Amino acid sequence: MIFCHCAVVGDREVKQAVDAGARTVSQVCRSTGAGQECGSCVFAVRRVVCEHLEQVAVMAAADPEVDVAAS
Amino acid sequence: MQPVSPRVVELLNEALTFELTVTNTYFLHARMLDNWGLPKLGKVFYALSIDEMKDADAIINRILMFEGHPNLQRLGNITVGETPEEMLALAYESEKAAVKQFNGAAQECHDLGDHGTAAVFEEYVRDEEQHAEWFEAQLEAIQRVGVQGYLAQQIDASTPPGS
Repeated sequence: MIFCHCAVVGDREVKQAVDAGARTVSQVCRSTGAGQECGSCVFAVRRVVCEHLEQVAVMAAADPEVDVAAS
Repeated sequence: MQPVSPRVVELLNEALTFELTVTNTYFLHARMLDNWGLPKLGKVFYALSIDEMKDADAIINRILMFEGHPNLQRLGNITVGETPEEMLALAYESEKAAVKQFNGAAQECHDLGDHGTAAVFEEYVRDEEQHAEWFEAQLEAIQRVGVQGYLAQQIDASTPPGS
């Protein structure tokens, strides 16, 4: 699902950025290019970042072997 | 003519934002599907886009009737599916959200005593319910016949290009 039409960024890229270590919306925006031009997608970026961080945390709780910070 | 409350114009503008957002989203989906060689599904998105544009037109006229200012600047998030299934799923979610929004707006208009605008919202609820039902049926068909089987039905190689 593409929601940043200026840099053509979707949920996949945002999740990849979180998996690569980004922890805030601004870090995700910087690394993906989303939200840098018109800014209208920032809330969509935030929603995906929050949902994915939650998912990562749940997976980490279920499997303590997984190091969240390193994932 | 003045509305019973300024809130009525706000509700109409919120509905206008929804209609404009889906008009654009469906239009892009239609053209992407055509470009992917799936013109049958593309035609449906195209027709729905035009329907939503006509709804937007009617809402603009109603806001102007109430001496309000139609806000055509504001758009919701345009979420673009990267596959036909994702397009159908996104459209299904947005139609369900519209049904909820318009039901709430109709109720608020009834409470304010504006039964005319409430009736307009009720008509849109029925339209969006039908759209939601259609998208739900497509997702169910995909479950039954598989995505490949479903997409094979959306090809139309019989029309020459440019006609």
